Amino acid sequence: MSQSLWGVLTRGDWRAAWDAVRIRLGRDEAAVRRGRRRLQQALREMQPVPARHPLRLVAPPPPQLRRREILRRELNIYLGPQVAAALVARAAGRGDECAELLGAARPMLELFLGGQAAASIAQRLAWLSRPDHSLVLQVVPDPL
Amino acid sequence: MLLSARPPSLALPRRLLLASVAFMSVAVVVHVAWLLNGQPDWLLRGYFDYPNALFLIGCTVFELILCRRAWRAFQPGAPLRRAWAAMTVAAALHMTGMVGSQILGVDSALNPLHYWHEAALGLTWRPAALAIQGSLYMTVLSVGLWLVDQVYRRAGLAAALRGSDFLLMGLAVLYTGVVLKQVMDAHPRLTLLNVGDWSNNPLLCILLLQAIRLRRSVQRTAGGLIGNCWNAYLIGIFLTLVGSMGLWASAYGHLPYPEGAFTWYVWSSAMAAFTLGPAYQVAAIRMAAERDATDLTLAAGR
Repeated sequence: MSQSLWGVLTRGDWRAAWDAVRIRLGRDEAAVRRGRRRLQQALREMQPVPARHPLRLVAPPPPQLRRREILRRELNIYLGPQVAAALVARAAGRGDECAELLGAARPMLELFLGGQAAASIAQRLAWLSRPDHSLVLQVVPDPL
Repeated sequence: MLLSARPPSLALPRRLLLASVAFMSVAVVVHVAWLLNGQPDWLLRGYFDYPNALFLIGCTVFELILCRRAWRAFQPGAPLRRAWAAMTVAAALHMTGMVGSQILGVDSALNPLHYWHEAALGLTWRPAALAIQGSLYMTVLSVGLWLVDQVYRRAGLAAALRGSDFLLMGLAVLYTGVVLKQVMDAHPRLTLLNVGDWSNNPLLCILLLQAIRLRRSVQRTAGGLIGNCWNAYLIGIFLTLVGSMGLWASAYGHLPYPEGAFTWYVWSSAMAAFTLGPAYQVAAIRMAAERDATDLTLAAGR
């Protein structure tokens, strides 16, 4: 099981989310313990988590890798894994900014899905360039 | 639950697939019952004249509605818009022919002419309807597939054919040649009534050659909704060939009766595949419009 901080944010648990950010920053030991407890509780309420598997926070991959991965997964839905991987590789050669990544994939999306659908995808992916996207954390079960 | 919720856009292809599987299960039960009960005519007629006819017509109605939706989703000038326009015309012909051959050309309680003017039944409607759902449909479908092939080439996804593809193409041409010779021997003069018999197999052969050529390109988009869409069309064409071969083999005694009768049920699977094609395209377009940024983040966290 893993879950992004965005899930907690959309659920409206701002306190748990903010504590999670502090955990990430590692500034306050008390906040770390409190935030961890609240985040665990929030995530347990969202979906069943085995009780004997406490959660641990994992640092997210660097932003450019995450952008590529999100783009790859989005393209995968429509064009399949082979074309998605090829397009992301081509896009990565042009740069890691959101616009560059999308610029490489958009002609193919327009060809197979039409201009309107491609524009919707572009609008959605533009969210990746938002600065607060760097807050995304992953929580995975602790093997210990 | 947010993470496990299935996207609503995929509901239509899934429901169509489920309905087709359920209908195939009914067909298996009917066929087994028919074999076990001494092959009574009433059972087969009851199945093919009512549920099967309604299923085939239902499939073509959905095919037309979905093709039209896919066509209108592309802006004027878009390469796939032309392909979907051709597919929409093909679907309209498919539906018209199917209503003519399965309802108006059959003496069943579903036929309104059955209650009104019985003499108009049979020969009057059926050959014309079969020509519409056969030759005319395949001609327009072939144009649509050619346009799709052009789009794949334009996208740089055209794939080279392999040895097995050429072997398949050779077999298709050989089969068409054999069937055409037998048709010409049986109907030496080309008339309006037998034009379908003459043209169906060559057209099916052309469609098959196109399908084999397109298959390698479509494989590169396999696993995505667009790949599923064109794969469904290719499966529909291959199943049509299997059905056609079954009819030919039964007619010329190459397939024993009643063991070979299972090929009669292939047509409904072919119709379902032709309906699934546009359903996947519409699902892809709707999903592109419906998903939001939250889906992206959750997808990345998985």
